[in-house]
Amino acid sequence: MNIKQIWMITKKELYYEYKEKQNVMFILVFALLMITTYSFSFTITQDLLKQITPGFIWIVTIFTGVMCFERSISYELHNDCLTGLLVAPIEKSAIYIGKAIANFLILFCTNVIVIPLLFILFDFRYYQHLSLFFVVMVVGLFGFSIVGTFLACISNKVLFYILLLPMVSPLLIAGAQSTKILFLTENQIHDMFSWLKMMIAYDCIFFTVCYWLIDFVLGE
Amino acid sequence: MKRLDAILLACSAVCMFIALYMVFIWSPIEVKMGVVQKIFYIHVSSAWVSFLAFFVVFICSLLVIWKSNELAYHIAGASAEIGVVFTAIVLTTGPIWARSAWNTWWTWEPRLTTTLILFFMYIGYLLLRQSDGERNKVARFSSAFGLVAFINVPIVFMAIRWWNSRLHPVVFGDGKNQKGGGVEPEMLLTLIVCVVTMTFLYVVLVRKGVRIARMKEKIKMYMEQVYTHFS
Repeated sequence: MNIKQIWMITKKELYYEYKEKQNVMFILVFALLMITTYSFSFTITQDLLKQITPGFIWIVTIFTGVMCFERSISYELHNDCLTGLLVAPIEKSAIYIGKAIANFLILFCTNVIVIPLLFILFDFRYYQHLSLFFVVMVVGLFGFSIVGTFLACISNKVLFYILLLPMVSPLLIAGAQSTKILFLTENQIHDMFSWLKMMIAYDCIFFTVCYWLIDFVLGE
Repeated sequence: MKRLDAILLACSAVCMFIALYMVFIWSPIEVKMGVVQKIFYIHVSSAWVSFLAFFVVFICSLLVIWKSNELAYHIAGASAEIGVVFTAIVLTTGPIWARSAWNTWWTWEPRLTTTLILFFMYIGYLLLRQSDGERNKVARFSSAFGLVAFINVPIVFMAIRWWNSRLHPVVFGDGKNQKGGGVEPEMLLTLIVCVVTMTFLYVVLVRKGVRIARMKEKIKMYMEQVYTHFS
């Protein structure tokens, strides 16, 4: 694993995002539209809000993430940039990990904007265990970026959606459950740690497997 | 090879008749659920075949990744198709049984949900195999997904088990206290015969699937030769 090469790819991705700003814009607008549509669909009371917010945060994350991962590979197809990247004298795993880290950072930044907005728009008040909530989000987003970027490498636009959602379902369940415990039952924090451990295990397993497979997937 | 196919087909046909006789005539009717319980034999044996099929996909995907084995790629494809069909049978027979046993068609219980997610993942796998692109590339991508999907299955199961309480009957000696509800010896024998029958059927179908896949490849090759000849 060459850290310098990974950082180079991450920097390239982030620089592209900084120049284009398309991905972040898309994600933000899409997330806001989802929040608006949800508020039309349900009559939301404070009690209901506590129940649905954890799931809602993760649904928004997944849908926005899907767009982010898919674009991170598809824009490389223009002018055959992906071939250029593959023949460059860098490790193939560096391309994958670099892209996954960049996707993680982009998703993280958008979530930092979207989640407080969601709290403000729905008037949801939550102050306890913010640091734990932060840890859950980071672990969840990291696993999601690892699997999402890997699947974006092996599939086309339409297929990607079909492959990703079942693959990240354990992460979605664990993420939503741990967030729910944090929001609803503050005195059962130890339960949240079992879910967090599961998310960490998921991250480790898929990071290892995807890292091992990526050379084979990106091929000659 | 054709002789082996004929023998396998004959075995599976004979077993099928025996299994049907045992399920509907020989085995006793369950006291509480009545005749509805008979769907259990088909349900469990289909579930066995689908898990076996997905395990074969996993092993074959490993072989493709490790040795670029052509035969393994075809077996994985045929096996995934059969696995998806049998999972569809499991997901259809399950709710029919559940309606009379639990008074609900569906519940978000670990085994049900895991099977459903498994079903979606392998439909995705089949779609990935059929996607456009260079053949080697598709083989690489689908094998990688076949491997990753199988690794995901126990994680999905664990996640859903923690998420939801258990409702599924533990029939045999497993579960928390290693105690199941238990079955009559006749019922157990019928189930074993059904499982063996379905396994025979699986082997016959996989062999047929591999033959069809090879024929398709041959036709594709001949078509390319014709095109190059006339262009």
